Amino acid sequence: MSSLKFETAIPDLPGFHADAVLGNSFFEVLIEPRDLRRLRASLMNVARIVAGKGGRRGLLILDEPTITEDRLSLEWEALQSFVRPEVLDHLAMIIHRDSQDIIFGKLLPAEAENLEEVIQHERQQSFKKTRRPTEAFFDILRVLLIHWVRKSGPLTSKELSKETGFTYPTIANALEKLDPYLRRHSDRRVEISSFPRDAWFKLVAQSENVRETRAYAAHSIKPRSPEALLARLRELGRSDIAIGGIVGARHYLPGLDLAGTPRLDLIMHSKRPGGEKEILRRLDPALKPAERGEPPQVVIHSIYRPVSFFEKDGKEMPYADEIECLLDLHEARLESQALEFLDKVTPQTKP
Amino acid sequence: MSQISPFTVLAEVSSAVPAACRENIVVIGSLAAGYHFFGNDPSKAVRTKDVDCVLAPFHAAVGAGQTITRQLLDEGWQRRTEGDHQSLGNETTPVDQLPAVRLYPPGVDPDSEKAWFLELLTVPESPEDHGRKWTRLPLAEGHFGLPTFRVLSITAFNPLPAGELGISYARPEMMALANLLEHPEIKPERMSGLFAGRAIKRSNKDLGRVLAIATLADLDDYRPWATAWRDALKACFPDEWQTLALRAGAGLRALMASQSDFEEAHHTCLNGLLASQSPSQDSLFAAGERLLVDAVETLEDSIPS
Repeated sequence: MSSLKFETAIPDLPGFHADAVLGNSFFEVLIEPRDLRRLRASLMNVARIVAGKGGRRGLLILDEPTITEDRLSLEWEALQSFVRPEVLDHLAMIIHRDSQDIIFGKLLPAEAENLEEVIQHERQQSFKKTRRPTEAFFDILRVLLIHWVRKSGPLTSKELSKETGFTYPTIANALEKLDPYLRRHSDRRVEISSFPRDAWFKLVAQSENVRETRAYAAHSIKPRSPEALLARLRELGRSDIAIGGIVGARHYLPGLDLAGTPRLDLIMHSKRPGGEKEILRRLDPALKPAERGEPPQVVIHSIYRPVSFFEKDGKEMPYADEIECLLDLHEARLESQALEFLDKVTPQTKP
Repeated sequence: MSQISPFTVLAEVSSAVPAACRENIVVIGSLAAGYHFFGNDPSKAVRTKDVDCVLAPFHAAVGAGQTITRQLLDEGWQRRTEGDHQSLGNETTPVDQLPAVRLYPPGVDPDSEKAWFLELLTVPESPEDHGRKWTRLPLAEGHFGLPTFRVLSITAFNPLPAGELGISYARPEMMALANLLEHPEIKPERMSGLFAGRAIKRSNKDLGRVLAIATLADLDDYRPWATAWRDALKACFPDEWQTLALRAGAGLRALMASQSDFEEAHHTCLNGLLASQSPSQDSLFAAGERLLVDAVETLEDSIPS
């Protein structure tokens, strides 16, 4: 049985590469395509790959396209007018959405089985491409802190690179800045040894920018309760969104001193804006971007690292990691609860 | 339009009709909505002039209609004589030219602020009946007619009891569905009279009623309405329910996509069921968005493609 290979060059077609290859099947993935020219160029690429050598198949996956199905259907039909039938028979275009896949052409069983893995891989690659270098330090800090509060032991730079998506030089630079708070082991693994107070409060001060916080409120109608919103969210069964904020903090610290749930904080491990719009619509279509000073009912933050560190609790939807929940408490100005949470979840060394 | 108390009027209707016929009466329209949402609050009134009573089931409608009308006339209820076809008919009068049963309570001045009249209608005989149909209602002094509309079967579906009064009233969600089905588009026809000083498209008034009901219901979750709507559509239109379900939201979407039509609907709400709430246009729009996503889309999604 063939195994999946990623980022593979195609020797007989200089300059061409496939995002993934499975035997004779070549995959190209477009994440959230919105540009028809790019779509057409990609269709031509996979057609060239198929035409270049007999027996090849070409698959173009459109992950959460913002182009309509009707428009995409027209593009597929147009392809048929100028691509030879023997090439067309070996092409497929897949529209991948959370709700369902729409397939133009034929998909072999082995291709269908590997589709999700190909898409997940390309999404992770896409995360890397979209992240700003200035946020690297804070991303690396957060991952180190997660390991610290979870007492999961020291990490190699390779592990940190895999979990944060940053290169060795970027990681080395961040570790140098955090050096006073690190324990460096003889095998070059590192871990937090004491709470990096200064770096933490810099992160808190920039949290909304670093996490691209978006706040939503139902301006004009009685807001739905956070409990009702949460119940709806759970029904969506999304694995790329986690519960943070008060609800998440209570998951880790059930006795957290706060009555009620003033707002719902969600962490998206995704870069799909269309996905966010649909989630908000399902939670409450009356939710609109909150105005300055307006108390939000729903707040969404993004994380872009390859590993989400979401904690899945049985069949429940996932909870965000402890550090995201702590940042949510700070952002919500729940300082005493943030301190209580920090005190309870961090190892013995106190800030 | 008159300002009338839903509870008082339903109690008056109930006491005036023969006890044996009460189970055949389903009150519909704004009075039914008013009774459901604030029937216990005597300070809240509904602006309407007609008390629409649907007689159900169809096979009992003529008998009940005759008994009710006989008793009301004998007790001095007065016929409303405005509009076309007000002369009583006979065996040769075409059924669609017969007058409807429209009766003011005894001693009421039709021009007074609190005047209202009772009107009798019936559910359709068959799911295939389209448009307005009439059923002959012979009495000793002449023939009346019972009008029906296709969607009245939805309105009268699984009604709620009006407390201990013995009569029933339409479920708010069923009145909403009936209005949605009646208006899969914004039709250009305007109401014959002015509505709070303005000429209003009937579609905007009826679809505005849908938004008013959603606003008054004030639910965290409208999805149970989709289940109830599906049950009603299957029961009332067994051969067509899927088609009807898929087009139920079209008129509401059209209303919400047209600023001028939506503004007319808002005007009817402010001067109708929502007079005491005075919602902003944004608020009414938000209620519409919730209804579309929760109830209409859930209903549509339940239809196999």
